[in-house]
Amino acid sequence: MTASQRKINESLYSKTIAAGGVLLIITGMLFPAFFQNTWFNVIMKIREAITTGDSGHLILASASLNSLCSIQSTVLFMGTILLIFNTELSSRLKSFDVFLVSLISIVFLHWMDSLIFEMPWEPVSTLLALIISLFLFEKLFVETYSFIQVFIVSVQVFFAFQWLNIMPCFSPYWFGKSDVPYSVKISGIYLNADTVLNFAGFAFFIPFIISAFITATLFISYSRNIQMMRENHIKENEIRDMRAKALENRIYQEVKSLVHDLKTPLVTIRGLNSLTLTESANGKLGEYSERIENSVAKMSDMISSFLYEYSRQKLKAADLISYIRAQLPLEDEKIRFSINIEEDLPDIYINKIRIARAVINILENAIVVPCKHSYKLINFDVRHAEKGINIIVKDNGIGIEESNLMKIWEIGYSSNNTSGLGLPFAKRIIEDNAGTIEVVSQRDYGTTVTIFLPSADNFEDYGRGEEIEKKHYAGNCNNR
Amino acid sequence: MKRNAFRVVLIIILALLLVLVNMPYTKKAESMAFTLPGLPRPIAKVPAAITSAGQSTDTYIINDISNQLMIRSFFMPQAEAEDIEDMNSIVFAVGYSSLGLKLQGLSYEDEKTRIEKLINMAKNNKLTIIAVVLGGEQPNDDRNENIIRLVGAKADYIIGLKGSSSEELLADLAENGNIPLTLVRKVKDISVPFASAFR
Repeated sequence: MTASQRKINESLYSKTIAAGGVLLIITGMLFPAFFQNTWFNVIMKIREAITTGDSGHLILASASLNSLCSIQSTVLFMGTILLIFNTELSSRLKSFDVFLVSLISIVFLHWMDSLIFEMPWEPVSTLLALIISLFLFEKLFVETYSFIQVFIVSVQVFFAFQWLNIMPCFSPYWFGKSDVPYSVKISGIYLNADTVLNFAGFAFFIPFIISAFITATLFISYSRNIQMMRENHIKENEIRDMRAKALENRIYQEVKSLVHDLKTPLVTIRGLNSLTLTESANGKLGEYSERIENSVAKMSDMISSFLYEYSRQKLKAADLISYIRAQLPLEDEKIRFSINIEEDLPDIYINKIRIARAVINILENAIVVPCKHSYKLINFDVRHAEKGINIIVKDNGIGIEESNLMKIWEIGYSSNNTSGLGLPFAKRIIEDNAGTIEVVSQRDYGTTVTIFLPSADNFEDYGRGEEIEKKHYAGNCNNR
Repeated sequence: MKRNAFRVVLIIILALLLVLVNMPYTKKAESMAFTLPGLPRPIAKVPAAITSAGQSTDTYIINDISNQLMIRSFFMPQAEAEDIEDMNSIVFAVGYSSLGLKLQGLSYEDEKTRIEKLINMAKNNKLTIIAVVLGGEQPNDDRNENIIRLVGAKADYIIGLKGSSSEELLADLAENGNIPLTLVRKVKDISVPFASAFR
């Protein structure tokens, strides 16, 4: 994903959250209108309690009343929080100022709502619940970044504090002064149920406020555990990668020493062959000796290319292509290869073995990629390019998502359950040989890989690599 | 410096907002009015109409007390003037409830007009008016006070709760209108002065 795309996505997310905030505030403001019948039901229950003398109806009325008030307060709280914490205001102000702005906004919204809809609300209990909710929000949101978890905690806080309004013992402290809670209390006192109301109030307030704090703590510790697990997982992956690399390196070193050991018999063959050539320069034996000498030289080149990463040689592009073609697995009938090689391609200056390996990797990717068509078509083109040649591998496979195009160069990334080492390896080899690699892909249409290799003319010191190699070779010969 | 000023402004706004929303609670004062434990002799005759002034649930408490005292009464929370033609007294349970009014599909103005008509009818028919005020208030709302003034000023006897927010107002009304006033400590205690008005 590009930086601009990321920015657009962030902006879209921010706008969605802000719209959600506005929607919640509107819902909170219109809440009394939506649930008018439930409010009326509270009044009916109080009347029933007085008529029947049953204080149980008062508890039910209180539960309904407190649920309505706490849901409305929580919705307004969440709406305001979503809006404030999603604007630049939260980043510009210090946390205490954001706290004050949130507090003022929510109190103001409640006040306006009570004026517009003439519904009862309790400023004291709401304010106390707000302070605690904002405090918990600050602790919780920093850790979890989850508005749902904040909602779960704050609804408990608001519900707990609403119960203080129906407790006659809290009347002197400005709790429960509005219409409905006052009616509940006065009816409770009339029915000699003031102790019942006080007890019920505490019985709900204490467990809910404790539950809110416990829930917040659990959410925070859960979030921390998840974070730790993620970090551990990343570390485990890193360790696994390191082990794999160490193993790969060890195997490579062993293969290298094995290949190096091949040089000893090769020197012997070369030495003895040169003696044969001296003895019988003409005739069949001489011809065979020359052919042996050429083969030994080729084999020596191959060994050098393998042993010395930076060893490069000047060769014809056509030779490289022939070498690659000789190693291509072409048994699958469902795969059609179309090979187009332009005439008079320039000489290139590369490590033949390693570049061939890189190109074969690209071709193998094109072979294994899933395809929606009846047969897989792979175009393998080699063309002239400015100051070099282009090797183009094009397939009609399922392609790569645009968002994943940057990931293909990461070690371990694979969409085909392969090792995920091929493309990073190919890129490194091509860049080591002063070339470039580009991948263009379209979902469901296929992928085109273009490898550029500079021509030998671009290298003034192209003999240096060979010299290094020759020095190594001579050194080895002398040692023997 | 700028940040501190901003913070001070925020705190002032919050304080002002809290004062505004809590304004009615700050007016409370202890009454010095002379009150009676009950009436020395009855002033009202049965049958009595029990109605609400403000549609709070207090009306149901007054009706329950009346039933317990076995006072012959008719419970009509939304009584109209013609409903009290055959009555000898009317009891107003005074208490404004915005939700109670909404439940009955009444506006504040409708309720005021109904009360005024009832009072006029009661005065014309020489009915005894008893006002029972249990208290309660809406933040930043003087509607409860207006209804108390409307009924209290024309009442022949006022019963209220000691320590409630309307105590001072009831004392003023009683003093200005030379109306007997009884303030009781608990809602249950209303029975005694209420009975004294009839027996």
